[in-house]
Amino acid sequence: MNLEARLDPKTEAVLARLCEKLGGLYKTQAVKLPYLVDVVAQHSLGRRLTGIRFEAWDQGVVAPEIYRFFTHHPESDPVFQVEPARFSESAVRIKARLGAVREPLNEEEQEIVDLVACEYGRLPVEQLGRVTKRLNTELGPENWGTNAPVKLDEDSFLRLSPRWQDLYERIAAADLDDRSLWSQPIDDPKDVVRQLLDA
Amino acid sequence: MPRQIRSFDPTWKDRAFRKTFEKLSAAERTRQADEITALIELLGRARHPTLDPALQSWRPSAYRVPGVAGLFEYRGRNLLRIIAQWREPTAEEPEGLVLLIAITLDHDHDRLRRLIESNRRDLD
Repeated sequence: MNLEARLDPKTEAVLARLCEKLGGLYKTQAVKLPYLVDVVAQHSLGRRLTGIRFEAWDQGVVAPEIYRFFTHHPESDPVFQVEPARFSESAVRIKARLGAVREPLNEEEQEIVDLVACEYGRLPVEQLGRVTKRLNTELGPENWGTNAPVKLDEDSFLRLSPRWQDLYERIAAADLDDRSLWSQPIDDPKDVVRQLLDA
Repeated sequence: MPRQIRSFDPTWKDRAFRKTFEKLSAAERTRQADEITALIELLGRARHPTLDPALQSWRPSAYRVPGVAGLFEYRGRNLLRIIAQWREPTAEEPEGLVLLIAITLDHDHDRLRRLIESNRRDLD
């Protein structure tokens, strides 16, 4: 087998562990969940696990390398099996043979992958895409659907929190032009903190 | 004349912020309050939402939400984040207006830490 046709060993191990925890992955999950793994790993370990490139695609963050790998997946790949998903026109289901992984994750790396699987692995794929978009609030609608690079730093980790994600949705849903919801002009900035504490 | 500042209360007045703020030590509460006050003063007189030199320590950046224009994020020390909307001048507000939209101090780090520790226990 041509070794270059395989994913790098760490990416392979991350995907295999996600498959194990979730009982298999859809391709959309396979191209997005490793991004969240790297965001958490960068925060927790000070380094990423996969080292692959992530880009801003139409439906959120995608790892193009993983997308290409599973789109042109070699049947002889020793780790991953790709099968058409049941009752779906286009989806595929990915399963892994864990024993064939070349570079297993260590314990702390497994914890991070398991955390992402537990927190985000059961989200509907459209929602998963939105989570990845909300980690990149510097990018506007015109940037999604390009190959623009995405953030993978402490800010993206902060934005992963449910509170931050909820805040984004509340801002998107709010009518900021409704002046009846505005405060009076703030003459003394010190009043702002006092008002916040009265909330 | 400084630019007018107001807040958009449904998202700005946030009980979660109050709860987090009240958990801080007295010294930390004073420091955070001073930091918030300083930013609001700056927003009233800054010439540009991201390029004004006085704002650079806040590492300002656009905060893009589909359908909402003029949002910017300002980063304080530690976890303080403030989102504000810069609105164009009108007859009513000839200097433009900054609408304070959201403030956060808490990003659930503890929750993520607990989850990671819980995963570790499961593996042991």
